[in-house]
Amino acid sequence: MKLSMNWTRATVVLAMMAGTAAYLALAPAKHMKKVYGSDHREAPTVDGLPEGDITDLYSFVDPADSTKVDLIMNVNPFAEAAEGGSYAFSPDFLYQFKIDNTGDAREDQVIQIKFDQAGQGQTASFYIGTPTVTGARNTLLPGTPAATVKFNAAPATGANGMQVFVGLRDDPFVFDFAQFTRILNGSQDLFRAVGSSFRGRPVRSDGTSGVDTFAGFNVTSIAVSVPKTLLQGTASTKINVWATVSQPVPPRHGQTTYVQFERQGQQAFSTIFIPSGAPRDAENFEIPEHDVANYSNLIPDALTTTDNDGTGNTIAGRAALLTAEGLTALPNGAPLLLPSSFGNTSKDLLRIGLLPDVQRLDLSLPAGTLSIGQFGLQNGRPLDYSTIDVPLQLLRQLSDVHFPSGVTGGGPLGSRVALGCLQFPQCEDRRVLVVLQGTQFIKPDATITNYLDGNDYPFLSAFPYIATPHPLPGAANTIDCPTQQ
Amino acid sequence: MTEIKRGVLVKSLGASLLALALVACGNGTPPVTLPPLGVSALNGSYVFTASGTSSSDGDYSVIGSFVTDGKGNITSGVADYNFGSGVDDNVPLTGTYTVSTGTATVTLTDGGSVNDTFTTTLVNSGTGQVRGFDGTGTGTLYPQVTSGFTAPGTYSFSLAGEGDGVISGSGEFTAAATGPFTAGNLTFTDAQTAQSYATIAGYLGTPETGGRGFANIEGNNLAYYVVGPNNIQMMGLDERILLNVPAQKQ
Repeated sequence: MKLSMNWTRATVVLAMMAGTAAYLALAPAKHMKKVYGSDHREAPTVDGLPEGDITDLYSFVDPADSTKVDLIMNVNPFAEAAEGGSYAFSPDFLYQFKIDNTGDAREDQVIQIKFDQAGQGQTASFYIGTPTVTGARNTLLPGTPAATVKFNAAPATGANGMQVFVGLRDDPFVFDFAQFTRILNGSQDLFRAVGSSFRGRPVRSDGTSGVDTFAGFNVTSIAVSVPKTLLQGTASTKINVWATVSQPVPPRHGQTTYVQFERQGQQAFSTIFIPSGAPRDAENFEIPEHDVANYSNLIPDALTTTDNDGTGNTIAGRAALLTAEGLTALPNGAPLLLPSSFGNTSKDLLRIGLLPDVQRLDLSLPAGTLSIGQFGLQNGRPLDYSTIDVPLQLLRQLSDVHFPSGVTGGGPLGSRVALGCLQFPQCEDRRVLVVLQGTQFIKPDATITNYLDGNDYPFLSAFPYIATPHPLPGAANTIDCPTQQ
Repeated sequence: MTEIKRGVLVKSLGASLLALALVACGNGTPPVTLPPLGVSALNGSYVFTASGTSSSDGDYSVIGSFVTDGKGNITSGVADYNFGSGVDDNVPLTGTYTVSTGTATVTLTDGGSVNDTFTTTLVNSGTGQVRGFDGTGTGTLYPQVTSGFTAPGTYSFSLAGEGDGVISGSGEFTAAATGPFTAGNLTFTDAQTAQSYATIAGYLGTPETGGRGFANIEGNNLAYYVVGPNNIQMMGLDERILLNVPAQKQ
């Protein structure tokens, strides 16, 4: 299979999803609640380099200034509020936002960030421009920085009205990662219990059952707001965005080269689709240009309107199956995100939406336009967007699953690339169970379909938007670190 | 050998070969083929090694492979650099080259746009001396044949490099199909200190792109490059030790 990321193809194929989910386009992003989807401690190399471990990347049109686009990169996962003074960025690393504005998954513009010293007395220098070299080996842009700012200081303004911030912040990622892990390891079956057949968390009196594993923790954030015109190409308003961290190799001929060891595009791609251990390191070392060739085989086929196994294994058939099992209505499941009439005809739909692993952002769309599935999982990635629930719901409705004989999807495997669940409900690929309910139930059931994630701390109404860090446990208005269940 | 003397030797060799070709044609035996004089003379896959002292980088060793298109372009390549104070491994390469009067000048460009240049005299055997690498470094350029190579087997090897002092030594290992050594021995000297191992641990991995693989001998990490079905060149990847380890399959 040969896929290529080009705007025309992606738009044509995914526009169907955008159309069916268009009612989501006006979700109130200005309320800036919280987002999930992340790569906290996901690979061996970054496990040992927390200052270079990207937990999340966000990209969105500035809610307060539609001429600007905001990019946020977080590192230092699970930063304890009680030890808040010990977290900073590494002066050895090169942090980068990379922007492709021609659709070839190769960076055309970069925003580079370097720190002058270790510890929270450090100052960040921001450079923006066309990269001297592209790919996994990079050099610092020449010239003077476009902006500088000290750690934890108020946002600073640089050239071209660019705003920048670096410092300790609340981790905006929302995910019941503990239960996710239990489902994968077989000690639980679903995020929420269903009768006696499926083990899961019980429903609480407030209409929730999930636990945000990341509540109470901080991260260190790099945030930048730049004029769209500095990043946008001449032929399209769409950009691809990803973040990288690189470390220097021994200089040669007086030139310092930085080699990438970490990257992130769309939320949780690596966590869900790349096998743990060395393969995740390899994915972090790689570049988006190679993603289609490298990782297409790790993504299941998408269901279509055509029955692929003679059992009614279509999008409509899956919707009917989920409904019959009581998983499309609360309290046992979330309503369907896509209508059963969803008209996909490409089994590569998920691959096209997920690869290359970059965030696709249409700069021409107003802030808060989610456009679920139009360019990827969503339009960029706003801070307050449900970045786990929406992917779960897309995957449960679209992923081909090899169920037992007699069940929709239970026909011969043949050439299908399907998740395995032949011993249902004890699926051999536990990811089938992860997506079965379509949500993790962290927020009250009444808000399940607003597609906002429900962070534990309020987002700010102005740049850098990301919530202030958790104060010391026990301080006024703190929630302390919640009991993890 | 000075450049002047080498130049004389090359010219003399060229004249001798020309004479040999004329004689050969005259007596009906197949003619001796002279190396072509243009860029097509360097066409295919090659492994290179070099070591020396750079004015900017200090002592270094490098090993790598590249593919030329016979038109003056290096279409792909990979290399490993050890500077004694740090290692830059698995470095992707592209580049260009020219050929003039039997001498190729090769420019290797890494993914960070750093250039290294060296020259080599093209000879019929294909194996030539690398000169002027990164200034004054020297080494060897080998034609590369990866087909027919399999990692498992018994190898004899030699050691040369810098550790606490000058390193020299030799040994043997047998790599199993899965990579680990099942037998082997090693004797070496580092700065007048001699050591001998009756058995050694290690492994020889399966080569990947460019015929490059990983090896480990008694805790020392190495990159290796397949030169031919029975020949690999290895280089140490540990900081503070510059090691060159050619190995021959038995």
